[in-house]
Amino acid sequence: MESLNLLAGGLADALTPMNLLWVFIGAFLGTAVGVLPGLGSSMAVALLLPVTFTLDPTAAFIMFAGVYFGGLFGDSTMAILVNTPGGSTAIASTFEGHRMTLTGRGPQALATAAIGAFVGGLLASVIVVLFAPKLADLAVNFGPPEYLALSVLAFVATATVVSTSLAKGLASLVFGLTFAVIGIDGISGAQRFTFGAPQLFDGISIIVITVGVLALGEVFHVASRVRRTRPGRLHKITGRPYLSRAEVREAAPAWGRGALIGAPFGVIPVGGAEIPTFLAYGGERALDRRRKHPQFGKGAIRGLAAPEAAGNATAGTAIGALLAMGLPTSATAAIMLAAFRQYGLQPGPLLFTRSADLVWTLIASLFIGLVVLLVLNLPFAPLWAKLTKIPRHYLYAGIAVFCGLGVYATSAAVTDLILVLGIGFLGFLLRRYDFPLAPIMIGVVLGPLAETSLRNALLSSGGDYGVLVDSGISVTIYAALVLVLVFVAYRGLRARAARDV
Amino acid sequence: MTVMVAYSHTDEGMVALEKARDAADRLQAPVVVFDLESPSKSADRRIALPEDAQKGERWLGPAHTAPAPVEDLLDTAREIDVALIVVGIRRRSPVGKLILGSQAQSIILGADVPVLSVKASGADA
Amino acid sequence: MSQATVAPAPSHWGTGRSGLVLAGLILAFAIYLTVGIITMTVPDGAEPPGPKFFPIILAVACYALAVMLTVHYVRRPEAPADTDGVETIEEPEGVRHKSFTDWRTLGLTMAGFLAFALLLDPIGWILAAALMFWVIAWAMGSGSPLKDVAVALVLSCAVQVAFSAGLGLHLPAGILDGVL
Repeated sequence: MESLNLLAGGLADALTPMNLLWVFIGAFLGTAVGVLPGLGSSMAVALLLPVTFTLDPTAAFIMFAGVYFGGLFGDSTMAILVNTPGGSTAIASTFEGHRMTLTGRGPQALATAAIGAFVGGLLASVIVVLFAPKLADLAVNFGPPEYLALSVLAFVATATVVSTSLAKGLASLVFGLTFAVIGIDGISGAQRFTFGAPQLFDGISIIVITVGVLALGEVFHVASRVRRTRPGRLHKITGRPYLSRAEVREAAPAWGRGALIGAPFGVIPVGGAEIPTFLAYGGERALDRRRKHPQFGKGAIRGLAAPEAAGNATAGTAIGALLAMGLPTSATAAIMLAAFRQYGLQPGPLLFTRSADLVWTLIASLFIGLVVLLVLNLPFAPLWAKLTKIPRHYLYAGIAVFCGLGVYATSAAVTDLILVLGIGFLGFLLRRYDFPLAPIMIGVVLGPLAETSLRNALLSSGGDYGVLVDSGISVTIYAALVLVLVFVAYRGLRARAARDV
Repeated sequence: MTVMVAYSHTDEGMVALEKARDAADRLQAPVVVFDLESPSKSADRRIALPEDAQKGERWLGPAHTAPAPVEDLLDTAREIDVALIVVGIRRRSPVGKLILGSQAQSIILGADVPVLSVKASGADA
Repeated sequence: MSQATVAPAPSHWGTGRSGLVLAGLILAFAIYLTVGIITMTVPDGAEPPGPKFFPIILAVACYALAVMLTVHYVRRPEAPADTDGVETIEEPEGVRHKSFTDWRTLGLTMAGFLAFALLLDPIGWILAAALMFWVIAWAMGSGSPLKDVAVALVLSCAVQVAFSAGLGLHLPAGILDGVL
């Protein structure tokens, strides 16, 4: 078991006091941001990205791991107590989770969610340890045509599956791709779309785009509605914040099933964990119907346990896919990929050989992060809920300040601040008109990879397009793409045809 | 003791609503209209009353985040303890139902209280 | 809420079709790409497919999507999707606004950020950031402007200390240069 030895080495590296501190800070910040309404882990990572550049890569990624999982833990806290999910992955948790709160079982719901997230994350991390190196071995054979196929799959899947409309998803993707072509072309050295402005020679910084779309865009979106809406009511919760033996027995199978449903979705680029959480929820409900005393609709503990486990399992294996293939499957993973690049590291098969220390320390810190998060969340979830008492005007004004800080800290350029304002406004428009945001991030991050892969493939084949579908791997990937499209078309048709009541 | 009607903005939905009102009258029970096509934003699933709503009726809709409105209907039915669900149905081929699904069928199969199914007049439509 | 009007929302052709603005935006992107492709100077010796290859695909996609979005909004006007399920929305009853978006608050928030961007170098981080914080908090309906000044200054000073001293980031001192 070579993986286990490497993991042990990683654990030893991660368990230094300084690194433990970074895990703790990451987990702490992640939970805090997750708990706050409207903020999810992608925004937390976007805001932290610029700040972490002053750290060494290991510390930065350890912190990201904490933030990444922490955001998911926090999201469900609000979903359960206020019925406001912090992100789309926590929506499925609101259904039965909030019903549990309404029936006076809030603390148990929080405990169920925290343990579920832990179980899901744990399973996913184990899978990463066992399979990521194998995936990396497979990915070593990838050439430009395979990377192109992978990028195209990621583009189309994120743009179509989560979006309510095909045009909206693709438009969002194209915004991202267009941002990515600005700047000097890496292959030929030609200036592209800069119109002579030297500020654009290096392209638009990924930080400007992430902060603009994910953070400042959210601030503007809230500003456009804040005076016309009221925040949800926080339910007072009292009682034991742990589970009885019977409750554990009830929830345990659902944790397991949820984690198993969620894990494969980490490597499927459909824009995050929304789909697996709903699948896990739906599956539990179908099983529940067959029981003697169905619990769904009354605050079923299984209806909360399964999506929580699924969400974190997806998030965990997504890190594996990112490390082994360089394939981001959600907006948050896309930002982490960007972070790797800022350190001059390219996630993918070579990372496992070139920076094995970093990879295994990061994987080890996933385990440590989960334990820290369980400790932070299981007993203290009701305390975290108090964070929502921060008035919204302070919260979002503060986020705007951190947006400005992050952008300025990386470039020290006022032009970047103007640019982020414009992109923030675009982010607002996309939210206002219900365009998905994940495709834009995937487009920005994978756009250059897709372009260089396409051009290199065609260069080496002398312009023969057949090279793009020449290998078994790329044909398989395109077949998966066709499956995704068939699924989307079927779903649309079904939604229309089933309306027969 | 409540009568719930699975309502959608179709002929079948209208007929179901009428039947539900009749049935509720006879049972002396209140009517809850669950409008499958009007997502609700509030926690108690209330939606704005339409013009043709009658006095004493409660109008609900699926949570706007719910992936499957029918499932939400069934959960809500259990939550508020209804005694009878009324659905309007349309004739469809078994194969069509198999491949494309049917909301009416899901309600009939999934409910654990009696379901009264009614056809719109000229039921072949 | 003084700007609230109780008039019923008028229903005209534009209702639910304001999303066309995004169709326009993507058309603007398409034109930007087109102009960029035409004026691009390709260095000699760049082998095909050159630097124009990928942008041409993108530009074509942009034009196509502009058309698709226009068709989408013309055929099916959309009521604003209140939220992506992230915030609870409880609109106070009986109040009708002319537009879904509260343009005044949004405008002030954006102006606050713009002022921060322009003033950062001249007056320094502490004052510029505090000003932005105060403007946004006030625009979003904070009831106590004086307390906000204190909160804003404490936050901007805390950031200055934590990031300048702690992490070694350079933040402009501006007019407070000598004082700090």
